[in-house]
Order: sequence, then C-alpha cells, then structure tokens
Amino acid sequence: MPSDEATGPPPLLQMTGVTKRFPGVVANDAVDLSVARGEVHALLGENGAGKSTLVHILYGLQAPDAGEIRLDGRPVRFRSPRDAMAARIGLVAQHFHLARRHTVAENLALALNDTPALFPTRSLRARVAPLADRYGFEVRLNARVGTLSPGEQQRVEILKALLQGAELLILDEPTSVLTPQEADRLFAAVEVMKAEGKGVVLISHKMDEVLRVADRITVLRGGRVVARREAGEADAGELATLMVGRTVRRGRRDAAPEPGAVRLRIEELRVDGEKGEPRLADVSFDVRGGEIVGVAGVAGNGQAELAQVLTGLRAPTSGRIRLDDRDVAGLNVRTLFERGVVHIPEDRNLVGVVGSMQVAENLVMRRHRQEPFARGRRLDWRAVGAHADEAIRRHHIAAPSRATVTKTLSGGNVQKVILARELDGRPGLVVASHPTYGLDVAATEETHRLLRAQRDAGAAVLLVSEDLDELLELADRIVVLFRGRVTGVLDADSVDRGDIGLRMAGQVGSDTDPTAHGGTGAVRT
Amino acid sequence: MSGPDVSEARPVRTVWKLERRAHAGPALAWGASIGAVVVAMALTGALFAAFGVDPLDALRRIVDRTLLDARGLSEVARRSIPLMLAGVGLTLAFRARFWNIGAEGQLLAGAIAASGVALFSGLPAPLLLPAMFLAALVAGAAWGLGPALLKVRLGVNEIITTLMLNYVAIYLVRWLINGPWKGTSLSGFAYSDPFEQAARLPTWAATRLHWPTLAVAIALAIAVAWLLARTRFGFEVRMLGASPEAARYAGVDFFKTTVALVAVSAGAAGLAGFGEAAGIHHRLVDPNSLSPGYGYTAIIVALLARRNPLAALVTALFLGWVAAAGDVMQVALRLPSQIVGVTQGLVLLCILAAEPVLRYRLARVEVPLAPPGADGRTAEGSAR
Ligand SMILES: Nc1ncnc2c1ncn2[C@@H]1O[C@H](COP(=O)(O)OP(=O)(O)OP(=O)(O)O)[C@@H](O)[C@H]1O
Ligand SMILES: [Mg+2]
Repeated sequence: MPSDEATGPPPLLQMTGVTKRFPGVVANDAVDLSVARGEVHALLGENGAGKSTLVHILYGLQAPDAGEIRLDGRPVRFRSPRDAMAARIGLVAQHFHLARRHTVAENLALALNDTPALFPTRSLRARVAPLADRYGFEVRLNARVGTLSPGEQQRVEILKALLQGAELLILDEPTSVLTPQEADRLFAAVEVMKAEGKGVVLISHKMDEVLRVADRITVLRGGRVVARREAGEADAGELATLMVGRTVRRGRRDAAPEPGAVRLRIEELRVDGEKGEPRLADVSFDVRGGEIVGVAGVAGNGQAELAQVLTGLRAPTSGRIRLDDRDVAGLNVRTLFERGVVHIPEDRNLVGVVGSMQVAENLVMRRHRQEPFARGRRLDWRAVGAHADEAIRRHHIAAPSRATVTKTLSGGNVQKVILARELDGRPGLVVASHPTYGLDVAATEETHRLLRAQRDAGAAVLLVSEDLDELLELADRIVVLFRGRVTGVLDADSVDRGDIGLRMAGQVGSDTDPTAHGGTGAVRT
Repeated sequence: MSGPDVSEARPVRTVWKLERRAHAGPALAWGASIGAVVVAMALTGALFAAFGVDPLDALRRIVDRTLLDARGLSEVARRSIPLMLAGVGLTLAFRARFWNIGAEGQLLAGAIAASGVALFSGLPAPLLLPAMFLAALVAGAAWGLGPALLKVRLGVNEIITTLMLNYVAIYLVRWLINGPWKGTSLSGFAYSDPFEQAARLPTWAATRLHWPTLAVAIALAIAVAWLLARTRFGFEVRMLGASPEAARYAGVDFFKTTVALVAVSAGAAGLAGFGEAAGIHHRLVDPNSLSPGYGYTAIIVALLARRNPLAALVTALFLGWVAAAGDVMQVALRLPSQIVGVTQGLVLLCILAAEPVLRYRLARVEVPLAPPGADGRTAEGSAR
C-alpha cells in the first residue's frame, strides 16, 4: 500500500492487482495481498476460490496475466520456482512436488544447494534429525517417496521448506493430513519464524487453526478478495459465511441407528511390505452395517495398507477378510467393486483420478462397466455426459464444463469428483481415506452428510483419518493403529482424546514385544 | 478498444513469458506437427543446397513426379500402405504407453507367414489370400506377444525386447531365403520361389497399388479410432496410458488389456508384411527390399499423428510421399539414397523439438511500471 511506504519500511511481500485467467474461469481477479515481516497471513476461500493459483504465481509456478509482486519493496518477477527459492520463498504445496523415484533423503538433499556434490545425503541425516525431532515428525529417510502415503509426503515437504530456511514461507493446506500434535508443532515453528521477522502465508480450511495463528486474514471468493480481517475481529462463523457466500449449518452428531449385522470381518490380517517387513500384523475387528468405524493413527502406521487390502489394491499375506459372510481376501479391485466396495483413496491425484482425462470420464471410471454407461462393450457417452452434468450440479463441483481436464480443477474439486463417483450408489462397504482433506467447510459438511447417509442406508463405513475431530464427530467406534498393530478399539461416545493420542503413539495398548514391530522401517529420528 | 488511452494513463510494460500449460488442444497439436514438417523440409532444402541441388527446383521436380502424375501418385499411395497399417497399430500401443519399437520385426514375421502359406500350404486358390492374410495377422501378433508377456509378467522393458526381435526377424528371413525356402527357379539369387497367381493381390490398373490392403488399412484406422473413443476397452487403454495407478484402481486388467492391445498393434504390422509380400514382391525377398524400414518409419507416423489413428492415415501419406520422393531424388536428382533416411530423421527430430511448444505457451504479461492505485486495475479489465 502506498500509505505503508510513506510511513514505514515496505512490507516483506506486496502483491498488487494480480490477475490470472484460465479458459472458462478467472482464477485471480485483481488480488492484492501484503505480508509484513513477522506476520502470518491466512488466505481463506472455498474450493476453487483461487488460493493455490495466487501462491503458485508468487512461487513462480505460473505467470500472472497482470499484476505486480514486490519483495521488500523491490518488484520481482519469477520465471520458475528456482527464482523464487533464490529469493528465499518456500512453498509447501497442496500437491506435492517431490521426485517419486528418489528417497526422502535424496529429495531433501536436492532442495538444498549447499549439499556436497558427492554423497549429498550423508551429511543430511545430521541436519534432518534435530529438525525432525523438534517437530516430532517421523520420517523414513531411506524410503522412496513414491511408496509414502500423502501424509508422509506432506511431512517431507514441510521439512524441505524448513531446511531451506525461507524468509517467506507459503503453506498451502499444510496440516490436512497431520495429527493435531504435529500441527501444533508446525505452528510452534511458525511462531518462531514470526519472532525472527519472517513472513508466512497460510492457506487452510481449518478455521480454529487460522484463528489461532493468523495475524490477518484475507478471504477470496470467485478469485476476488471479498474480505480482509485482523485476527482479533474475526470469528469462525463469519469467516465461513464470507467464504461460501451463505451460512453453513454445522451438522449435528445425530443419533446413529442401531447397527445391523456384521458386514465386514477382519481376522488376524497380516500384510507384508516389499522387503517382507510387516506393515500390518494381527489386525482383527468388525464393522457392522449402519456403523462408521474410524481408523486413527499417525500416517505410515498401516492405514494405507489396510485400505489397499480391503479394496483389492494389495494382497494380504495372511488372515481372513469376510464381507457379508463371503471370503473376499485377495480378490481384485474390479470384483470387490462389483461386490459393493467403494474406495475414496488417500492419493487422490495419482490414484483417484486420471488427471489428463475429462471430468465426465473421471466421474464414471470404475462404473464404466455398468449400465447405463456401458452398453455391452460400448460406452454410451450421452449417458456419461448426462451423469456428469448432474453430478457437477449436485455436488457443486467448480468445473468450467464436464469436458474440463480434471487436473486443472482445484484440489478440493478433484476430491469432489471422487466423492461424487464413489458415494452416489448403494455400496456395502465404504473405505474412505481422508475424505474431507482439502474440502472447504460447506463441502466437508456435505461429505459428512453423504457418509452418514450411507451408514443410515446400511453400509459398513470405514473412515481413515488423522483428524481426530472428524473421527469423533462421525465414527461410532475408533480403531487405533500403531506400527501396523491395533492398539485399541474404542467406543467413540466415551473415548478420551488423550487416550487415543497415547495409543497412536504406541504408549498404550501395544502389549506385544516392542522389538517385534520395529520392522515397519520407521526411523525415529 | 481503449488500449492506447489506457496505456497512456497507466504505463504498462508488456513482456512475453513461457508458461507451462495444463493441456494442449487439437488445433495446437496439429499446428505443432505441421510446423515440425515445415521446418524439417526447410532443413532438407538446406541439405540439397549443400549437395549443389537447387532446393526449389528439386521440390518442383519432386512434386511433378509424385503428385502431379498418376503413376507417381500411385507410388506415394502404395508406399503409404505399410506405413498406415503399422502406424495405426502403433498409435494404439503408444496410447497405452506400450513403446513398441518392433513393428519392423512384426512386419517381417507377417511376411514370412504369408509367404509360407503361399508357397507351401497347397490350399485351393480362393482360400489362399484369406489364409495368407490370417497367417500374417497371427504371426505379427505373436511376434509382439513375447515382449508384451515379458512386460506384464516380469516387468521387462518392451523397448529393448521389441527392438531385439527386429533383428531376429531380419536374420530369420535371410536364413529362410538362403536356406530352406531358397528358390529353385532362380538359382544364385536369394529369393524364394514366386507366389502363384492366386496368392498375389490385385493392383490398381498397371500400378503397384495393391488396393485391397489400402482398404484394410483405412478400415483398421476407423476401427481403432472407434475402439479408443467408443468402447470400454478403448477407455481402459487410455486410462492405462494416462495413469497406470489410477487404471489399477479403476479395475483395469493390466495383463489382459496389454496383451489384447499389443496383439492388435503387432497384428496390424504383420498385415503390412502380408501386403508387401503378396502385393509387391510376390515372393519372400531380402528384408531390406521387403521393407526399407517401414516399421521404424511407422513410429514417426504414429508420433507425428500424435497417437491418433485417423491422423495416422494422413501422416502415413506424408511419409509415403517422402519415401516416393526419395526414389525421385535418387533417380532424377542423383542424390544418395540415404537422403530419404536423413529427411525422416529430420522430421522426427523436429517433432521432438516441437514437444515443448505443446507443453508451454507464450503468455503476454503486463507489468505495471509504477505500483497501481485502486483505479489502476481497470487497465486489465478493459483489455478483454
Ligand atoms: N492450470 C489450470 N488450468 C485451468 N484452470 C485452472 C488451472 N489451475 C487452476 N484452475 C482453475 O482456477 C480456479 C482456482 O483454482 P485454485 O486451485 O487456485 O483453487 P483453490 O482456492 O486453491 O481451491 P482448493 O481449496 O480446492 O484447493 C479453479 O476454478 C480451477 O479450476
Ligand atoms: Mg488449492
């Protein structure tokens, strides 16, 4: 702002009149944003509001059509993230930018330019360990990034940005798959950065988080700035209303119907990893029809494997899985889907959709072998198109058209495509991994409503989430996993948060020999 | 447009900047292909000049003898037939990211099978051509299935296996025509005996244009396009090519789908071998005469068509023209025969060079020279 310039030093970041158009949408419409040194500036907005686009422009991933960026008063123009990094801007992106074939250590080494040319990862361990320890992140330095769950990848991204020591750190939904404890530690780090006079741009859909750490809040809607608030003068309800343009009703924790018969029964399930190390061991529990069972645990403790085994993406090493009293262990994805197993996968961009295909195509994949989309061996594109228009309308998917290439949708809208596809029918078993990760308040409520509706219709619902609030709100029972073993099956009504936390950390409930389950490869650094 | 006033009111510097684009439309893809061809032809012209041939005069003479002359045209068309068949097949394989470099070997396998039936089956005359057709189809497919199975079962890279099998096919043909199938009528030459009349494809008038194969090629292109666009199988092939992880989640059977699509792809190349044996040479001849690298040129055909089977018909015609023009260059312009290969290489290089054009776009970026005030933003608003 010109007035700032007259009075004090220019702000750390000043974006003025930033505009970005994509075919069919104006993602950013003359957006102004400034971040002072020592400020955490939160960027809020519904899915597709243009938040990620704005920070991509700031990070040199995309060129603005118009507008200006100044750092410490000097105009800058970034041609690539390399330029942005050189200007000491760090980004924890919503979609991770890691080299999947390389190990975590190699990825971290790549991000640093002062690592030695030979054996760059050697000295890294010493640098990462204290940092990871400070934030309580468990990272498997030698694991290939491609084998990590999104939650683990997010930790790597955060470590990478912190290692780089940015002056201006951009966090695009950094806590979506972190545990509350990890989020707390991340925000403690943010406080330190603040005290050191650095700046932070925080994008989040979690209102309590924003209200806790942000100094100023900018709300985007449809690419425009619709409101700007000082931290003190905002409350969650008002912000939610500003974001979506209407009042959002909080779903009630309604009385669940009496659960029916057991639909899913897991007995002594064991799943080994690529190197023969156990990823799941001795896992036994039931899910009844009309019941939501939550799976709690820190990312990388077997939740991903559990979801994969139940949906046919991975074969169990031993143990039994019965669905409606039929043995389904080891059946393939297609057969399980036909038997009524739907799956909201953890890795939405890589697994859940084909990014380069149209929204309409992604809305029918998996169901493309069924009527009315398949007519014999042929596909009926008219039925596919009609279905897409209907789903886009009903699930409020922000897509310029059904023919839009799916990877150009915003993160939350990609997830809406998956939810629309998986939760539209009458499944017998719903396996939902982080279903609301990245969704705005309204879409989160809508997803909770859909999951409850499936439960009420008699489906067995398995909800994998690291968001305890969500688990406690939706689940009837909670299964806690630690290093591939069940450390507790708890009743959601009478559960104690502290107790869950201890079980997630393996301090309660892991009655087996502590050396026996060290095989997950997790290195407590 | 109030552009001038606005720029007077608010000094704006316009700069151009390369920017990643999420998706390239078909118009742009064609533009890039055509651009690649134009640049390749310009480079070839420069090469001609280096050989002391006036490029414009050469072009005129080539056009005269290939496009403005019925016989020349038929030569272009008959050169295109194997390129169409193999090229269309490759578009299917490439869609699923099965990088089949072995169309040459699959073509030769088809030619061997067709020749075997023609020479030794003793089938009645009316059954001979259909049997040769089928044998070539099956042999081509079989030549592709080995690499396909190795890939889906053991994860062996198909680029290497398909390429290696080309050499196996080349030496197999050489061995046959020098050994067991060596002709009795023309002793001293490494040919098989000529096919009987019933094993020869009809040609158009007095040319070498074996039109039944051309009809098959066109039908195949339409069928593959239909398969990709309209069927469950085609949808699954496209998913497999676009994202193997998502295809697995969608329940696509990697094994069956890969085997099926490779069978079609390699079978099509086998048919190209049938066309050359039964339509042109009427005997099994040396691999270099049977196919001057049609199987490799077909890779360019498929890539230039951006993996679109119908477009592959057009690009096959273009590369068929390059091949026919090569004959003219050798005969009329006395240029070395390798020049055709050089031209094709240039086309391929230019396509590869055009790829970034598709991934990036040149964006016009307005940078205000002074920090704009609240009213300054109208500059962008009115630029619409
Ligand atoms: N590369 C692109 N090509 C075309 N459209 C795009 C592209 N990137 C973003 N968009 C569009 O721009 C709009 C804003 O997207 P953006 O990713 O900035 O939203 P967001 O606020 O980050 O949403 P979310 O909370 O879901 O992550 C969306 O309508 C999206 O479809
Ligand atoms: Mg986003």
